[in-house]
Amino acid sequence: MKHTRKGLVLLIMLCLVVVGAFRPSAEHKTAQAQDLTPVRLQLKWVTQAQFAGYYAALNQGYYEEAGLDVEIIPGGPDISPQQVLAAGGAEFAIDWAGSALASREQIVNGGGSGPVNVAQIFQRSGMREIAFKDSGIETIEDLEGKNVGVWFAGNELPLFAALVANDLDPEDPNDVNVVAQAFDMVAFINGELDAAAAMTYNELAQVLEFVGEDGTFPVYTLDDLNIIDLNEVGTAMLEDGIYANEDWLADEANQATTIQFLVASFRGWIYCRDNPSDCVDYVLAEGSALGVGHQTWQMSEINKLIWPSELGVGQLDPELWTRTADIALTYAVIEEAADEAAARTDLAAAALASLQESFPDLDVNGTDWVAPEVEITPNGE
Amino acid sequence: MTAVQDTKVIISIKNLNKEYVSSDGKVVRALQNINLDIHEGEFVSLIGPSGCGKSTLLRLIADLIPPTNGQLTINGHSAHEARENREYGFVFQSATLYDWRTVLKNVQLPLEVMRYSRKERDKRAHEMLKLVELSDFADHYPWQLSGGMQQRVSIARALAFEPNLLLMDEPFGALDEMTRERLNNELLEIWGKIPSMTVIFVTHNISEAVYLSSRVVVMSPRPGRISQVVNIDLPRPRGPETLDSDQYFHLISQVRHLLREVHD
Amino acid sequence: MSTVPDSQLSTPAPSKFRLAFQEFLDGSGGTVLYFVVIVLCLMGGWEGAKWLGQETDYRLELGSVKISLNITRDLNMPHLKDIAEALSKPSQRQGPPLIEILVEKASYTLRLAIIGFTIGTIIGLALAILFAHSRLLERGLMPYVVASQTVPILALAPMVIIWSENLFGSREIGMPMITAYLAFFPVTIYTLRGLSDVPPTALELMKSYAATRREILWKLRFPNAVPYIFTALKITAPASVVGTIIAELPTGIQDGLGGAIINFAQYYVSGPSRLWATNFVTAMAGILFFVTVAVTEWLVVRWKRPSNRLDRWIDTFLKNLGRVVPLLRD
Repeated sequence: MKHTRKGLVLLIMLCLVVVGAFRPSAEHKTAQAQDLTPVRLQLKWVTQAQFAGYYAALNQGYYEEAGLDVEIIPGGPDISPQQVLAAGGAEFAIDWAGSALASREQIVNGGGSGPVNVAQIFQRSGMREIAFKDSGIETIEDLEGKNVGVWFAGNELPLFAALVANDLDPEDPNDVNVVAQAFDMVAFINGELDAAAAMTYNELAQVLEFVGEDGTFPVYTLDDLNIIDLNEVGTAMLEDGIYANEDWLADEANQATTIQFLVASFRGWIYCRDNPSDCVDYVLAEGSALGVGHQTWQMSEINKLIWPSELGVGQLDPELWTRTADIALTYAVIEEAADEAAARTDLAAAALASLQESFPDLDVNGTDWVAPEVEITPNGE
Repeated sequence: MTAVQDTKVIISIKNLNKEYVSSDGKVVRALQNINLDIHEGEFVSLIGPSGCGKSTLLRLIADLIPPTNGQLTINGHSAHEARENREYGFVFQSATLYDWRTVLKNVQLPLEVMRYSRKERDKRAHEMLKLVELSDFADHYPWQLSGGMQQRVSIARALAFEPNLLLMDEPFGALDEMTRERLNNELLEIWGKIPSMTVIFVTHNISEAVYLSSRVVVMSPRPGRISQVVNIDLPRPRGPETLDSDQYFHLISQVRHLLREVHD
Repeated sequence: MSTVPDSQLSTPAPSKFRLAFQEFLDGSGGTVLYFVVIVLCLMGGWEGAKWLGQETDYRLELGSVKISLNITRDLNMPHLKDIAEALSKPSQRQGPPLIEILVEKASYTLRLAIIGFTIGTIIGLALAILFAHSRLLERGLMPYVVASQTVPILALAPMVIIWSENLFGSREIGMPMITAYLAFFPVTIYTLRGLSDVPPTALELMKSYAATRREILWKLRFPNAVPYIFTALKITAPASVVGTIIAELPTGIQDGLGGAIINFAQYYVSGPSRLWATNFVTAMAGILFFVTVAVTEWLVVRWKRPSNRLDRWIDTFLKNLGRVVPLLRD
């Protein structure tokens, strides 16, 4: 019957659509090699050059050489790497020390097993407070009475500590008017903020990459900006480090896995130091919407945060750790002083030793490394 | 057809009462002490002003609503059993066609419910559409049909499973006079073709009732009861000449007088 | 008995041209005309606001009241021409044009949206049929169904994604769940309404046939609910796209529109038009899904008198298409 046939055609069409929709995406990994230990790494944010070293280790086969099958999981808004780590959604996570300490306290107080810093990749902080030259703001002191943008959710602490050290109360608008800042630089460029927080590898570049209404470029250069470096002020907190779950680490097999993971990751970062444009390509391959110019700039700035590593790549400087924990305690991000177990240096040290043993010629400190010139491109394209 | 007393009683109603509770909590007597026998092959009209309970009586016969008390038998058993046995076809004032079914499929609806074979469904539905002269519209959807055509489909549907009893609730009430007249003739023709079929026909149109029926049951309101039964012994087959006959006019005025009495 | 000429069916045929013109005005033409006018008004409003900002140097002074028009600066509201241009230009040096990237991402998002939409629809229908059959279940469960919709999906999404990772080892499985969570509710509500909104005589007719509850459900209540269901589906189709994007955000997956939105929002300053262009493509994806459902409705609910403009528009459009593809109309 005509009617049934038509119904049938409709049904088949519907089935095709649904089946087509359910078809797994083709790019998903092919059969994985046997004998590799599966490991997942949760990033702090979406794929960008900030995480290039891990992508390099993956693409250069370092992880596989180390006996690992690594899946890199990008982060995003509304999800914290520690949340994923605690839920067992990943073995390793990239996070900043401040938020890792806060999560650790909460999880431990709740009877759980918290994150432990097993390696500290970024040796210095990329956070800056920037202002236009004509504002006359050159030091923290000059922020008095100004509109100062910061990111909250823990990211405000380095600046708050710096303000307090200069007798300015961040809670008192008569001293300084602290404004919650979005993650774009619109308010700064529109002049609504006198000073704004900026990471060297993202927001600072965005100001420089800005194209004016009539197509002018560049509108702003580094000469137009005063940049307050919180490393120099002495209130910077530690940023990207590698974290793992404390209970998980108690297992010796997992410690071995961690060392293997660190060896390969360190190699990845060394590779990105020496071959930054390859690493930019690895990152771009993960995100077709990212700008080439911006990622190239970011790769370079990230390298500056890692190199030189005076203690060797990935080694945690206990002094900086203590400073970070102290600031966190002062501003009640954590209620009690951080415990000893919150960071361990033995695994990173073992990884470094193993790396040096296997590759005696590899420069693990980058003492002589000089940052290459990077051209600012319009809109970071 | 006038010799009704000779044939067997199809519907027997004794001391039937129907009460219901209105929304403000009062008990309303819809029907009081109804007594009526209807014989096989009869065409009986129920007529009366609104509120006289003529539609209620029809729905009691159809077991669409339960009686409060009294006796009501169809072919010797209860109305409920009659419904379960699918002994009657029902035609509503609105055609009540299912919008999503074609004309043919609408006629087949009762046959589907009653588990007729596909072949039998097709055969009967086409026969019925031929009977109401709508064969050309089998594949149309209800909205593409005029009101009169829709009502003819609904009659075809009611007859599709060949019930011996046809219950009609003001089926032509919403149609214009011309269409109504035409459908009256069609209905008489169909009824004439199936000698054993009994029709109970609710209407508020006097001439229609007289023209169609072998008996007209005049009902009065508040509470609803039967005030008089008028035998219509107009000769059959009836046609245009019936409408011009003196006897026809006489019967109409008789029924009208009765209705005027019950109205006051 | 005479064959009845039907007035509605056999009106004397006017000239072909007049008929076509009438059809144009009644159906597709009117809709297209309205659509174009509204789009032009919106575009005019956008550019007009920008012009006003430029003319007043972004400070409107009405007596003593000063209004900042900073919002109309290019950074906040790029010119429509620039948004169109952003689509045609590559966003990455030597890359394909942005539109190509966005269409690819939109197809990924739509694919997930369709899965979530399908799951949500099935759950929605099942609940409605369950509730229609049991008053007790309806009274017991309905409050929870309603409450489920008051939970902010934005807060729920990251948790679902993490659970999905733990349970199935994949975040992609969790994403359609979030979409389905958003999509099932209107389907339940509208279907329930359609199942019970049956004319009393239509029900009495079934009763007169001594039909069972199941027969009443499948021959009367369910077909009666079909237009209601499509109303719900037309609501949930674009909402599924939004739901999928919300689900994409915490996963950081770059394959869909959610990833593009994160990216272009983060780098907003270096190309505001790109975010707007992404918004535009997102809206188009939602509209495409909506239109697909509307066309499906037209195909399925052919028995209904074409009553609204959209129906008539699809009617004329598909009639023309049907001349080429006879399969569509039997």
